[in-house]
Amino acid sequence: MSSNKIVLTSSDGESFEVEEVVARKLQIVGHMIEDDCVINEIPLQNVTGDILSMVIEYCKTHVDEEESEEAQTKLKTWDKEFMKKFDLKTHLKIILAANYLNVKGLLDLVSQTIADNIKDYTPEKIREVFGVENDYTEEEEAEVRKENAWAFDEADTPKP
Amino acid sequence: MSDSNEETCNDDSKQPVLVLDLLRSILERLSFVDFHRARCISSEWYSTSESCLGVKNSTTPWIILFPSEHVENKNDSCKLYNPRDHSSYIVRDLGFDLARSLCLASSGSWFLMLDRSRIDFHLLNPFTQVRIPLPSLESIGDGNIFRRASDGRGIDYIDNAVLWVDEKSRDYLVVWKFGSIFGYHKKGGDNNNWKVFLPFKHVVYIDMVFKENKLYVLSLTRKVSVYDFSGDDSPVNCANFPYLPLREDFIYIPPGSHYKVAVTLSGEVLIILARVEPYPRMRCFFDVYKMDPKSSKWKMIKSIGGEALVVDLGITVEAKVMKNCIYFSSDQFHRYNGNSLCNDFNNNDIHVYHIRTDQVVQLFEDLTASSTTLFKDARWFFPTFGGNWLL
Repeated sequence: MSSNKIVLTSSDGESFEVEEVVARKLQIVGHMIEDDCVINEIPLQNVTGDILSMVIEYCKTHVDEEESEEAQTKLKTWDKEFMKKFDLKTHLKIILAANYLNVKGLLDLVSQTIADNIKDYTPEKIREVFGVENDYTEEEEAEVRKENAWAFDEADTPKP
Repeated sequence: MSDSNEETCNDDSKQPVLVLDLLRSILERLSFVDFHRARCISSEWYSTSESCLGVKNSTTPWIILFPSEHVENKNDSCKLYNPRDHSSYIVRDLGFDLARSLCLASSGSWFLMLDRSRIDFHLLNPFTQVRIPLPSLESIGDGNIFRRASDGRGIDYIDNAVLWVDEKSRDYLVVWKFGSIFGYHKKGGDNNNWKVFLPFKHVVYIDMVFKENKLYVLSLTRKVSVYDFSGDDSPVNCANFPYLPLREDFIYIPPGSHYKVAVTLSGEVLIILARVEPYPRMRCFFDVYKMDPKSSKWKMIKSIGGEALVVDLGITVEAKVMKNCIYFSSDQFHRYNGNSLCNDFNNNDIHVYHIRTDQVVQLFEDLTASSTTLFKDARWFFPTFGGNWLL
């Protein structure tokens, strides 16, 4: 296995020296290496240093994915703990970075984490954290809510 | 290794904006309910959720429970139950007396309801709360065949029908039987009325299934006939299967039992005998017979392979978990007698039955126990989601 080092530089000028196998987990980097094999310094325009360091941490941990059940369970536990360290806003930055850098595993992980976290939110709260503007008119919103009325009902409780 | 525990705030004021692919990636991972709730966020979220509907549609059936006549106040509510995560939902204010109506068939999230007059049909989607009235039966046969009832009692009425809804082409078809008469209504047909056809006089039909433009009807003598509905004219008889001989009897119906017809994924025809064995304790057994194309004879089978049979729908589906099983709910024997779902006789009514071992592998006691007198009828169905396009 190659022990080539590659330097990844973030949009705010932070540099990280990582082994080529780790860098290849970022498919965007993998493609660049395949296109031109002499690259050893790669600027990444759309990701800041703090987020890039998190992505690299994920890739380092997942660099040799073992098939054994034990290793998989261990990795899953690590994934969970890793995600717990960050708040929703950071999760949103990680999902953007994972998409840009094309790290499939991390994209799945952070999507699931966000889905799990927002499930108990009210629509108002979701709009707030995602910075989404409610573009429905009052009538339209009532109509959509009616369409999904069953989803707003509380879980059934036994009746006397 | 970097320790990322601390928040770095250099551009925290900037709100990350998700591209649609990423939003879809999150929405796809929400639970059923949260997924639908999320559609209220904005029009962009709504349209994105529409594009994941195929992903979210259920591969295991849900249960719908209709209120019993003993319910006075909330007779326009029904209960939905997702066995996968044991969640249940009450849908309220459907604006329709469900307690005195009968559900005769379903297709996706659409239910064919015969209201208390017993001559007016509606299609009802409890998720979108959309209700579509169908032509009245009053006009059929100079008004001599069907009479209007005030409370659904004291008259003969239709108790078997099929509903087919195509979400893509936005068409629907209803077929009912009444004695030897069949009536059908297609959406957008040349007139807004029922068409009637009479395959054979004096033959009593007991069950039917509709699949891929074909109607499979089972007679009391356990013969299956197939009618093709794909043309614009009257349905055409396209296949007939011989009698299923049982005990050398033309009409063999053990007490408390009944026959159903079903069609498998590959189009093979099944006859199911659902029979109740009273000893040592009251429970239901299913005998499954398949038409063997080589010998043109019915053969009892103990496996339907990797499929699961949903008796209420008369079809098999590819099974993810419950392979070679039968999803069963309250049987026709007491489906419409107004009994509650939970009494001594039929307390095992909603269950999953394994064909090879003849064992009940899943029971839904909690569901009926918590609603002793509230619900009269339960049906398995596959929920589908997607607006109110049928209008």
